[in-house]
Amino acid sequence: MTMLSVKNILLTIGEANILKGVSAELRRGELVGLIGPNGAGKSSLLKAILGLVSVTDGAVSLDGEQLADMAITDRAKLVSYAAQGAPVHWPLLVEHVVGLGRMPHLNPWQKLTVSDEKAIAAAITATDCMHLKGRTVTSLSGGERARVLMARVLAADTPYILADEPVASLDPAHQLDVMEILKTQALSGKGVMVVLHDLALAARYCDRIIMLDGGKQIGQDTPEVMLSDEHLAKVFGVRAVRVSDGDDQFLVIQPLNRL
Amino acid sequence: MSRAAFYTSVGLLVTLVILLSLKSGAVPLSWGQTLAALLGEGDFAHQVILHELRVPRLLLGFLIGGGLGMSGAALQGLLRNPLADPGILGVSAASGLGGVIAVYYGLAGMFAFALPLMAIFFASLATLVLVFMAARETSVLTLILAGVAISSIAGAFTSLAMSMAPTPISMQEMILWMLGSLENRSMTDVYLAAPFIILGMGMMLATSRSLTALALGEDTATTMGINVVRTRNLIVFGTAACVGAGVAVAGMIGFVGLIVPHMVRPFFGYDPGRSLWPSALLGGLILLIADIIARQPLMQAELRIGVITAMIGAPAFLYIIYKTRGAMR
Repeated sequence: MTMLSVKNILLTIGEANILKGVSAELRRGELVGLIGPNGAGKSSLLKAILGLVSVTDGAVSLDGEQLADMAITDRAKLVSYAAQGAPVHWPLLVEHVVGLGRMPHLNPWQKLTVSDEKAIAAAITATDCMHLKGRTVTSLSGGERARVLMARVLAADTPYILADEPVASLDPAHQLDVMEILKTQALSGKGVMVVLHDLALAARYCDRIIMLDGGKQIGQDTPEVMLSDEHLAKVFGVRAVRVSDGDDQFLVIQPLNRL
Repeated sequence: MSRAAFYTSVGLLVTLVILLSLKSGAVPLSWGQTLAALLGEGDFAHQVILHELRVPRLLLGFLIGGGLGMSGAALQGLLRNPLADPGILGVSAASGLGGVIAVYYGLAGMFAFALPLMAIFFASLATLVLVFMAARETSVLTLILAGVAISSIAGAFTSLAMSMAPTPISMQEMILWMLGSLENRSMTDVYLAAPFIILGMGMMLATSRSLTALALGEDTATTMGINVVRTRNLIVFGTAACVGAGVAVAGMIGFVGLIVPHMVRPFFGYDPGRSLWPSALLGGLILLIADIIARQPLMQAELRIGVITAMIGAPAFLYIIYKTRGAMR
């Protein structure tokens, strides 16, 4: 089965129950939003899927194969991860950082092949980073850096992409850029799961939404269903106004006040 | 600035410094005498000086400096911290303690490899403590303070061992050894240290790709297929082998591991993985230069090489702190 599937995941760290039985699916070709208040367990769910934290119970499978049985080098060929805030610790060149995305496909000491170069070039074009070549990542603005790091993820050319708050701390235009990039990836046949805080972006771009609250899963369905007034009141404790641009596809949700 | 420029200039300097190193010493030799003696011709005394004293000294200096340079580069890459260095983080002090214990309890007398093995064992302990303190992206400050604590503990026990030394002569021996020197070393010392340093370098070189990936953080590196635990272990024990073996035969030589990677990285796109091997080369070169300075007949006795590296290295340390101040919080 070509999908990423999470079954009844329990994650306990010390005394804290971070995830209390979450099940979710990510099919190739869809963009799924992971929504929930701070501390709901969104980042933890991504880390559990990636095997960065070991779950207390439950299973994650990738295309029918148990994640726990896979070597990390094989996982890396299937799933790539855009970490939250994604630090770069040295002043590496932009093209070098993007090129690191190819690492899962190369043996140690192996040089980049023509197909690697192609994937890198495609990622740089897709994220509009061409003009940033030759600069160091540490010298870039927040928006530019986010695009370069997204290019690194795209260069890996994995069937699944998990992104943890990729639009945090970006201005509105750059938020749209990043969402467009992710949407394009989904349309080209990849499964993309993205943690979002912006309900409007979630409503506009996501095919489905998984909503978490306090480590529990509220549900997974279309944005219209998951972002209903009842859910927003129950999970976020806010009331929202909805504006439709004459076309339901452009549903806008603006949190108005706390309940 | 490119790799080619780095290798050309360092390669030329290494050749020059090797020749100078063979020529310098208490017995002044001309270039002709040096070359003749090296080829096994000319004055027999000169041949002995060259083959028994200067060649081992040259080899040790290059190996130890190389081990220190690569250790610094590997630690800085692993901890993503430009101030990481075996000397500053107390690894050298800990291996010094191991060495003193080996000498004090007469282990070194019973079994030649006891000295490097004890030094390496203590260096591993110190590095392990540091790496666990630095787990999950801690600040530069935490790491440096942990290093201060480890240095203090090692220093206290070293002083204790020395103050209980059976004779003032053995105490003086220990103090002089701790200051670091390559004076009067023989091929035996080379055989004692070389296997460990070469093994340690091999372990660190095996992590070069992982170090590059670690520039993006541990989580991201893991999702790129990098085994972070294996990387950590290779660097911990690789560093300990290089530093411990170096301390065992030449005492404590500080700051080489700190400064060398900073000089190397600009030539290699600041990639911590690509900086390992060139850092070894430059570390070897710098230690040979320091050793030539130590042998200049300006003073009554030979200068201690650890003193020279500290006199050059400590101000450079201050400069690096000044430059990286913003990122230190």
